[in-house]
Amino acid sequence: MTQRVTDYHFRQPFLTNLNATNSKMSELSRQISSGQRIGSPDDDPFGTSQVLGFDSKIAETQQYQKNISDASGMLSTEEGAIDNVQSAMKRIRNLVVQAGNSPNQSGYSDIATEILQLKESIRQSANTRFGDTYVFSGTANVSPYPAPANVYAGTTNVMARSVAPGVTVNLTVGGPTIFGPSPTNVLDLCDQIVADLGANNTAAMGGNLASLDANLANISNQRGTIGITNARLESISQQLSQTEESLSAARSKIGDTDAAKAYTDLQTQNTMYQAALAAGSKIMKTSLLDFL
Amino acid sequence: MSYSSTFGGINTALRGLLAHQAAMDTTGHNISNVNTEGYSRQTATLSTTTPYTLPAMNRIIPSQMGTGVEVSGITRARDQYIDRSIRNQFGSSSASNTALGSMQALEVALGEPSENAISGSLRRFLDSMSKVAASPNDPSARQVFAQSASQLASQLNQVDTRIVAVGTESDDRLNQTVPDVNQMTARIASLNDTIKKAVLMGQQPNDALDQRDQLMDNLSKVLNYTYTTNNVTKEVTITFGTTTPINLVDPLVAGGFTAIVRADLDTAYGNGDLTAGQAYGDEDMFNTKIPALRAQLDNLANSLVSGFNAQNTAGFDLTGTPGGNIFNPVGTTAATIQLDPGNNILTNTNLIAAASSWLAPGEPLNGGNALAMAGLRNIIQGAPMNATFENYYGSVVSGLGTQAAQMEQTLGDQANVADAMESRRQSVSGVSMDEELSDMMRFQHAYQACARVLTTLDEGIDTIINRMGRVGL
Repeated sequence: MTQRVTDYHFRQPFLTNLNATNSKMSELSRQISSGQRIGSPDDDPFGTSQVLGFDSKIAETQQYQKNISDASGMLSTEEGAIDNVQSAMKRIRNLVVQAGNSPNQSGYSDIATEILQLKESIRQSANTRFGDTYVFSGTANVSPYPAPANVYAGTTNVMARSVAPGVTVNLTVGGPTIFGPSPTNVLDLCDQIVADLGANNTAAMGGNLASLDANLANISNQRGTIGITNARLESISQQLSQTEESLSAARSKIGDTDAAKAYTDLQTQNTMYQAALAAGSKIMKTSLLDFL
Repeated sequence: MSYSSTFGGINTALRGLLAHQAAMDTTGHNISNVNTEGYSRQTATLSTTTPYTLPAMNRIIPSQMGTGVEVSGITRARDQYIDRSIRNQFGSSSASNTALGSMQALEVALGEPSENAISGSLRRFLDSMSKVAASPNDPSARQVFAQSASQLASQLNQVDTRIVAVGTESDDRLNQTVPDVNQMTARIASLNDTIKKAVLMGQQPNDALDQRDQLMDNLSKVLNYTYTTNNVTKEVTITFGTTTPINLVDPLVAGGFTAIVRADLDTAYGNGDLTAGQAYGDEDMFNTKIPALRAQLDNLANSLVSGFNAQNTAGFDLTGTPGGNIFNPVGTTAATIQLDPGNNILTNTNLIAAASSWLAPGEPLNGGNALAMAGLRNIIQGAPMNATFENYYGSVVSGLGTQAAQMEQTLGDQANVADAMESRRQSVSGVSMDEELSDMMRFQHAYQACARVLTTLDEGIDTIINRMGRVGL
């Protein structure tokens, strides 16, 4: 026996389907207008938590990138400062060699004056700042070698910065690491040389030369370390860029509206909606009443 | 030969007229009620009246003489079995519908996924600690951290308040449910009485039965119940619950029904008697789902408070003093989390203990402790979280989303089943205009034919009375 069909059977499925089409259309237009595929967590619960996860990873990566650009600026400043120190010390070395080879001590006072000037230039480089940060004072952020003393005023701790998950690099350097420990640091050495020159102590020049060479070798090493760190930051930064790119791509794949698909679907739904309306209006207005 | 009465045929035709008029009236009643909720189409049952045997001296007609037609009853087309299963279905889909509504409200309360919701605040908070670690002596980085900590706390407070408001909505609806149920059961009780009186007088109270069925449909959307129908009086007895049963409608008690109070619903939910309907959906949200969600946010708040307080206390602030609390150690729930008013980092950003040590002459550039604090982001928190802050919160959001999505699917499925059942019921009980119109024609033609019989008989009698016996006049 076939089911007895009443007015309800025309009206109800028509309304149900029309309503379903309507709600799909409103969802699609929300996706298109907001650009977000997920409007509330129930649209895609797993996708929502993925999007949240990606967002936090992207933010973290961006912070690392900022840290790196900051860090590499600071390290370049340090390299520049050390470069100045190196050339000053090389000049001092030449002067010391000159003094050691000099048959008489007539030029010693001129040499001593120049070395004192070079010493102040080294001090200036050692007190270099990147922005507001003294780069050679460890974590203290104070002028590391305040004039007139040669005593290191900073700390031996260094400022570390996180540049990638689990990777930290040292940014600031404690003065003694580069300029040698007090009371035999580079500045002390300059004073020593000047004192020896004042005493016309030519014989001491050999020992001073050896100390200068040892300090130069150390400074050159430290500069190398900073250079390597900087190069490493460069490659980490490139990796982070790639990571960020793929994270953004993955996030976009999950969280963003596929515009082409959404438009096509909307068009399909719209066609269905109109077809349903047309069919409904034709079926429902006909009844036996029209023919009796 | 037998003789039948001269006027007997008139009566027969009259019965035809009256019966078909009644049938047409029933058709009119059906058409008028085509859009009445819960109406069952009615049919006038026509049957022959009692025939009589001709008292003939020598019967040559071996049969009885028919005396016409009468309306022996007006019945309603109703399938009691569909009613029973459709009411079960109403109960479960109404519970799902209520729960889905509340869950969507909860999703709105969380407001995810959005930059401006908790996920965004949490992310900015954790990011800002990396900024402090990167520039520990930068007052603006410290300010950003203090601001974002305060914002995260107030966002948790607000979201918790919104969640509580969703619960209050359920609570209010439950309070409103009680008078609704009592009103329905009171009306069912009074219809019970009407029906009993009509049935005992041998009548068929179709419209009262329809109204009572409609009320029972509506009641099944509110709570689950069982019911029995008295075969003689057609009264129903409606029972709610099995552990502590309440006879919501019972013809044997005074007034015919038992009014319930809110505590009855709570008790029934507690002992498992309440399993369906809007009342179940609301009780479940109010007593189980919403407290569970709040507890999850409380876990997050609690571990934020203890984690960051412990780490900040381990460091040194910008003046070299050992760090204090960031969050008020007393406020360990989402509702109460706040910056420590006694050690307010928002008014004095120096209090953020970024340094891991404080050697002379001071270490403003030491961001070691800030780095450790920023590292809390990737630490898997202990039970009951067993995940990082962000992953835990992500799982809370996706957990709620999953529940809502499942509920939506269940509801869609239940709606399909309910539609199919309603379709079956309408197939039995619904009014079809085409059918009614063809019935109307059927009855109209029969009525006209009966009238024609009457006219014919009339003419015959006219012949007898006015023409016969007039020979010679």
